[in-house]
Amino acid sequence: MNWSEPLFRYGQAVRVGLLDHLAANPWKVSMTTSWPRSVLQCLFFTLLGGVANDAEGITFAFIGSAALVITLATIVGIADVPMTDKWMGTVHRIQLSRMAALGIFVARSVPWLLEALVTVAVSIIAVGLLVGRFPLALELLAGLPILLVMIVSSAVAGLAVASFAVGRNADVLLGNGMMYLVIAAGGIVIPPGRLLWLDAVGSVLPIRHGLLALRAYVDGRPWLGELAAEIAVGAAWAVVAWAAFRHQTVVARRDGVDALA
Amino acid sequence: MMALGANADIVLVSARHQLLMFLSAWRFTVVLGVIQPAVFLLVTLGAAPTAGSAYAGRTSVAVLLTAFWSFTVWTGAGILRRERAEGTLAATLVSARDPRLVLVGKSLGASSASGVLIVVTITAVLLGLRQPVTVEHPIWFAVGLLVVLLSGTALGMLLSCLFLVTRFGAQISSALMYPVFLLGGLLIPLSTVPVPLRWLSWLVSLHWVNEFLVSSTSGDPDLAALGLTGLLTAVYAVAGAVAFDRVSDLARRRGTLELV
Repeated sequence: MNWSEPLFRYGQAVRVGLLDHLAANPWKVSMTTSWPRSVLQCLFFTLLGGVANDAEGITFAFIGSAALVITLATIVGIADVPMTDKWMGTVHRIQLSRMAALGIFVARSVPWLLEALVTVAVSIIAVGLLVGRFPLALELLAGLPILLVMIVSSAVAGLAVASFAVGRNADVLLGNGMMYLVIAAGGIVIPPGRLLWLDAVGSVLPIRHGLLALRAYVDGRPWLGELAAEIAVGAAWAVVAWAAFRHQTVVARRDGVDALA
Repeated sequence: MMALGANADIVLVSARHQLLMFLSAWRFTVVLGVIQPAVFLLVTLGAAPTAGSAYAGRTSVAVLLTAFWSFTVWTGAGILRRERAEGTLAATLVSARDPRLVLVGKSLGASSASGVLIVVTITAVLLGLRQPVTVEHPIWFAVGLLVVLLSGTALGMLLSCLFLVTRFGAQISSALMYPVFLLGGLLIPLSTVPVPLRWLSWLVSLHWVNEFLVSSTSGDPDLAALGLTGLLTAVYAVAGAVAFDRVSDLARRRGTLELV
């Protein structure tokens, strides 16, 4: 099999994704609005953790808030990737393509993955300094592979959510709804288990198990099991995303609609 | 007297139009008016499960104002941008009546809708959690809520003008949320904010109205805080009017601002 052609195509899709991203979010704007927002969000939720439980709460919430920053890019931001085709009227080009719709969207999401990586690193360093947890911040950065797994698993979950949103113009509702669900059920500010039904929902959400792995890594406890659970959750969301986009593409071609409805 | 009635009509029709906009864009409304306050309340009450009704009252007020600010920066602030996107900004600016009445009406509609929705959401979550909250001075509390609406209206007018001159309104909305969350002394006590930054909270009307509303739930109503809220609201309103004149000048005299 000749791999050079598909590689070239996916490379071009990544390039288009990058150009799209930079057109909508120029460096100057990202550095003065999106990145500070990530830092301030991380600081807000970290301090929120300290309101009821002081120093211990701040440490707990700092780790959770750092992981939460990832979702700004991978769940809320990535929802715009398929929506952009809808807004620009280019959905039919994807339907006509020999490349799988999910593959194109994954390739175009690469800039968002990089944004997640940059914002989480910047937030960890900045908030670590601001709340006097810089040694912990360095430990979190050393857990970069765990953060990378969370970035990928939440990104495929973001694409799965976007697949349901795109036909219904519900990107804002579902993308933000998913992020707030992670806040409520992901063990970000308070440990999971306070509300049983939320706990059950949280167990199938991205970030939750990766965050447990990160906490265990920082504490020096075994963490590979939780990391494997995060990878499994990510794989399940990837299957959902693949099936949803495939179904929508088939239905769109069969019914002659042009909006991945 | 007739002009006053006609002006009130314009304000009311504009407010009603904004409410209809919220209904048609219900997904955004649900995120900001239902999901966000519900999650904030669940997280903050969940962080202190043994706390009493005084903590729950304080936290509920803080969540109300936090969610209200989010709603203001994401919806009220975009009113004029949406007018432009829908092609009605030019007609509004050149109409026989003062175009500021439309902006006041729409900002008032946005503030009222968001305030009511958030209060209903918070009440529903408190009922769901069976968490009692006491309000010792309900009339003063209602006065405080009214001032919140007016303050949100003035802030919406001011931000709406600023957002008209940039195409990165969404990013700016996003960046504006957390500074007020942090510096307003709402969910996060000001004692956790670095000392050199604390004075910034004096400029945030939601900080003072938070003080007043919390004092209305338990203790003596802090009327000085209510007065400062009113003063800051007046400053925002004057700044909004000046900003609108500036925008109008850019669009009509200089021709440097696109209206469609």
